[in-house]
Amino acid sequence: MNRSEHIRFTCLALSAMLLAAGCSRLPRNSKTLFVMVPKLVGIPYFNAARDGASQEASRVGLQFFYTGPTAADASLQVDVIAGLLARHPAVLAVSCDDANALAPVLRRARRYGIPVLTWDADAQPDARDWFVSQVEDETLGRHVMDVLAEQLGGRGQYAIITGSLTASNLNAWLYWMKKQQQEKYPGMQLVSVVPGNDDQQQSFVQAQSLLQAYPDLRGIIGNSSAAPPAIARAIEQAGFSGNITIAGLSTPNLMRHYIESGTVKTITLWDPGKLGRLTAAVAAMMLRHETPSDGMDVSNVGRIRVFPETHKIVMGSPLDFTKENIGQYWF
Amino acid sequence: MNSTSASSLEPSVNSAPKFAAHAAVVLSENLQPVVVAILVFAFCIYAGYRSGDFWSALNWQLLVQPLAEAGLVSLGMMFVIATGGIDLSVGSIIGVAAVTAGVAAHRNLPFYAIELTALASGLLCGAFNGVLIGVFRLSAILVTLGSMILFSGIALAISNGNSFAGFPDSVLWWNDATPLGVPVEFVLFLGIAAISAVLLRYSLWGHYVIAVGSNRVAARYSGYPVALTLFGVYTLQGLLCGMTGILLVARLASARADLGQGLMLMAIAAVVLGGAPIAGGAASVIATVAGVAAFYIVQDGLLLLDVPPFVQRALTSVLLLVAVAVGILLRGGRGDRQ
Repeated sequence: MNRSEHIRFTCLALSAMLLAAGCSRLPRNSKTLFVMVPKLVGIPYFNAARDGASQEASRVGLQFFYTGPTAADASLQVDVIAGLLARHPAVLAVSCDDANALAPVLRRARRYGIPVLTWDADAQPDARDWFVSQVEDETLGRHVMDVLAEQLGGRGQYAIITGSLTASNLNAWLYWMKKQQQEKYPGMQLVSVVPGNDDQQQSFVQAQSLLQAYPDLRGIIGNSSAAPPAIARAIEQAGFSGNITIAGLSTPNLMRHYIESGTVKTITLWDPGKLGRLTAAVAAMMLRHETPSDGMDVSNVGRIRVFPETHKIVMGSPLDFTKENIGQYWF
Repeated sequence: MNSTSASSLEPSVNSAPKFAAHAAVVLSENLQPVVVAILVFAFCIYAGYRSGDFWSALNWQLLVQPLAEAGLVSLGMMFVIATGGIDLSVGSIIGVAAVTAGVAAHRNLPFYAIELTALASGLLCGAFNGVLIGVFRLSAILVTLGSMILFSGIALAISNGNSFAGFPDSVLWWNDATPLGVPVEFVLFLGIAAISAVLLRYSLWGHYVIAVGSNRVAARYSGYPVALTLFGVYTLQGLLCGMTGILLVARLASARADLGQGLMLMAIAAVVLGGAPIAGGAASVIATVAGVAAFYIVQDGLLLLDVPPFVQRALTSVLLLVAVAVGILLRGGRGDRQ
């Protein structure tokens, strides 16, 4: 190809690109535009939330738009939200990567008259109108302990592998797990709490040393999503499958293999799809200038709890994944 | 890049007077910033046609704030690349500046002390790179690769991985003030860009920067203060990173060790998009500003056009590739002589 051919080719490629991107004009200042921003796009957990929100949004007649940063980075997320403000969405819902760093841009959105929701992870309370939370710390912590105690018959030694020892949400769950055991299962004994630092390899090593150090150990709780699969792998390798009970918090995709093999009976989390549906439902309420009320029944979600002082909405109970239902979930 | 740069690569004691002529030739033949400007202008018309929000004052007010932060780092990077070097540690320097500002804010120091702390820590980090690269003549890519890890380690150690909040409103002023509707961050960026242009075009130091980048051996033989020039370049980059740290802290009202991590590649890409040869020896402030503005305008436009995030990234990098390719084609050559 000679030079002018090169240039012609480049121009053609460019115009093809622009055509492919579309030529229809977008509506301006939509009165029903509901924008949802995850911590990052492209991971199964947030995809599940997106699908739930999108279904609910089309059911109640909201125009739904989902976008976010391609990496979990607070300043990238702020840039994306700043760009979205120019579209003046009718409602903005954000899962905040950092409660402090997101606060200024969300406050700015509120100054422009945009109702702001946080979902999944909160910002500073004055930066949003409502926080749509998955489940209360107390409910979740007590529930995980119930799952373990039921399989152990309420007696025996158990240990906990958590994420990092400084993560405030993990520590809150840990507190309620211990409290539930002390109040309801006095026959059980906590021997150790160790950090796995949200890393499967580190959690695996911790699980192995727990198995060696405590021969009478009957149960292990994994308190961050990386821990339960690592514990299950350590137990399968040591040949203790079926003798040691595993409970805790993780996602169905990480646990599918161990639940199908029977090493793990039940693993707990919440349904991100349902959280997405609830967020869209609350967005619709914002548009209708309605205030959510405690105990109200949201379709496809159930009864929600509402705390008007802290402007917090709680979706409800945790979700247990077992051999029977794990096939329905993909995140 | 062209025949002049190829010939000036031969070490020659007498080549010193050629430096100025060389830079002028490179820039006059370099149409890449013009290509970038035309492409971006076409994109703006398209985006403005499809989205009614694109030309709104609010969009541009919000757009120029991150642009100003990336722009400051890009100006520093422009000087660094002009000397034939590279600075991989800019993101980590911004992190150090931000968290030291956070520590200062926690000690309840007044706003000017908080800002001076950030500037000073940025300056020190830059000077550290400058001493190793300028005085000890170590390779820029190796030194800054090492200091990238070192500085981010320091920032993490100071902050313990947490985010600092609770900055006084006087620090947040940098984000909130918009005299005559223009965000003050952007005014600062334009001011620094003007100073950089004067430094580059009219100061002796700017002349040294181009000379060192064109042919370091010849510059040394010509009695130019190569070590001091390089020291100055990296120290200036550190200072600009400190400034960027303050702006980021103001916009996010918080400080974290990983605050500037995305800006390193952005700055290098902006300088290259402006058409500066990566091997050094030429620099243009206008081209660099055009390069960094192109990235942010296109990113923002694609967001307003409902383009999915992963496609946004791909299309933005297509802009870089197309601009570089067209720039080379217009010069009538293949790019491999760089």
